Amino acid sequence: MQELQNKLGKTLRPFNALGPVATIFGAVNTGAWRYERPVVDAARCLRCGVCGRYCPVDAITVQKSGDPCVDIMWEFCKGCGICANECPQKCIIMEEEGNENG
Amino acid sequence: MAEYMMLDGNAAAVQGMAMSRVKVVAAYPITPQSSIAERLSDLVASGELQATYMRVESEHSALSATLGAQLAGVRAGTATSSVGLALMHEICNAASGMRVPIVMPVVNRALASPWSLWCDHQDSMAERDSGWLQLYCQNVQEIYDLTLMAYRLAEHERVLLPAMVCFDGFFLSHSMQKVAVPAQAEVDSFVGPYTPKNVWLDPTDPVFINDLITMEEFTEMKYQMKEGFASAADVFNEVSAEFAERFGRRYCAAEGYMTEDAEAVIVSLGSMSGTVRHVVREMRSRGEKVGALKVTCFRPFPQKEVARLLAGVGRVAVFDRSAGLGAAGGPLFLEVKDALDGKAFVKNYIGGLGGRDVGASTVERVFADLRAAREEDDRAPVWCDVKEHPMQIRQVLRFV
Repeated sequence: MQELQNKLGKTLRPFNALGPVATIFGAVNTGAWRYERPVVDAARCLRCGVCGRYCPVDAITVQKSGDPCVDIMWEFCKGCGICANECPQKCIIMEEEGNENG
Repeated sequence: MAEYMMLDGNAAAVQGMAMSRVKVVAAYPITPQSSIAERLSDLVASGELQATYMRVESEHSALSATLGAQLAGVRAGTATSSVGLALMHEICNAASGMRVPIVMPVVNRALASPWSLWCDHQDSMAERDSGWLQLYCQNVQEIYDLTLMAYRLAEHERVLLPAMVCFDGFFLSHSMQKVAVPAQAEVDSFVGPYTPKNVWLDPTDPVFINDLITMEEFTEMKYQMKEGFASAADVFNEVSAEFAERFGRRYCAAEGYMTEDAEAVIVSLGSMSGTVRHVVREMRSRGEKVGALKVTCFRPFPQKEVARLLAGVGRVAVFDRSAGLGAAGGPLFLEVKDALDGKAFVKNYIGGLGGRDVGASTVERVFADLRAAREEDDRAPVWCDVKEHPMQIRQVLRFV
C-alpha cells in the first residue's frame, strides 16, 4: 500500500476526521466470531467446488490437486455451515471450535 | 451577465443543481417532485449535464447511492418529497453523521395518512432533527438562489452538513415565474469545484466510513455535528453577503418586513410568506401597524435574529403548515416562542394543511384574531379555516 501511494506521489499527513471513520480494520477479522468450524473428510472429497461457490464470504478455495483439497481462510470463516449443508458428498461436518484436536 | 428564464420551481432546482455541476444523480420520481427527476434525466441523456444517472428502485436507494457517490469525491444529487423523504429517513441521518454535504431539493407535500399530493410542511418538519440544514423558499427565484448558496454553506469546512432546500409543492414546484439565471462562469466562480474536506473513499488509501461507534465516542461525534450547526449560522451570513455582492439579491436567515414599529407580526415559512407580506402592505396603507417575519433558514434556527427582529413587537402569530400533533404547538411556533423567551404575546396558528390555500383572507383573519386575543385566553393553537363540523365530515352507512 505504501508503495502504491508513493507511486502516485501522495504524502501522508494527519488530520482530524469528523464522524465515524476507521483506518485500522479491527472488526474485519470475522473468523473470531466462529463457534463451529467446517472439517473436510479429504478421502471422500471430489473437489467439485460447490462449497466454495456457496461460501458467503468467499473464504474457500478448492484446489484442483494437492493438499488441502479445500483451503479455508480461517481469519474470515464465520463457521456459518453453509458449505457443510451444500456439499453434495456430505463430506464436510461442523465441529465445535477448539475441539479439532480431539 | 444574468439572463431571465421562465422556470417553474422544479426547473429552477434542476437549473441550480446542473449549474453547480453535479456528477452523479440518483433520483426516484414522486409527485410533485417528478419533473426534477425527469429533467435531470433529460439533461444527462442529451449530454448537457456531464453526469451519471443511476436508476434506483426507491428513495432509500436514491439517497444511499447519492451518499456513496459523494463519498467517492464528487458532488452528487437527488431530490424528493413527502413519503419519499420519510423513506429516506434512515439515510438522512447517515449522511449527516458521516458529514457528507449533499444538497437536496425537498418539494413539500403532506405525509400520509390521509393520502394527499398537496403542500404542507409535515414531510420536512419530520426531518428537522436529522442533522440537515433546512432552507425554505418563498418563490422560484429563491429556489434557484438558495440551491447555489446551499452548496457553499453545506460544503464549508466549518459546516460539512447536508442541506435540504425546501419549497412548497405545486404552489412553487409547478408555478412558472421569471428567474434571473447568471452565466455558467459566474456560477462556477461562486460555487466552485467540489473538493471533499472530510474523509472520502480512495482505493489507494482505504478507510472504513460509518463503522460501529461505542459509547466511548458517540457523544463526541454528535458534538462535532452540533459545532457544525453553530458555525452554519455565521457561514450563512458570509455566503449570503458574497452572493449579494455577486448577484445583487440578499438573503437573511430571518427576514423582517415592516416589523420595526409593528404591534402585531405574523411569522411564516415558505410560499405563504409572500401572501403575508401582501396583506401587511394593504393593512399598512390603512394605517394598521402590522408586520411580517419570514424564516428562510429553519436549521440552524436563527434564534438571535428572530429575537432582535421581534424586539418590541407586542403580539406575534406563528403560522405553522404542519400540525404539531401532541405538542404545545407547531415546530415553528416552538422555536419562535423559545427565541422570544416570554418577551411577547405569542400565539400559534395551524393551517394550510394538505394543500389548503393560505390566502389573503386567512392571513387577515389571523391578524384579527391575534389582535383580539386576551392574555387570559386559552393558549392552545388555533386551527385556521376548519369546517364548521370537523368531526362529522364523512358520514357512511355500515352494517352493524
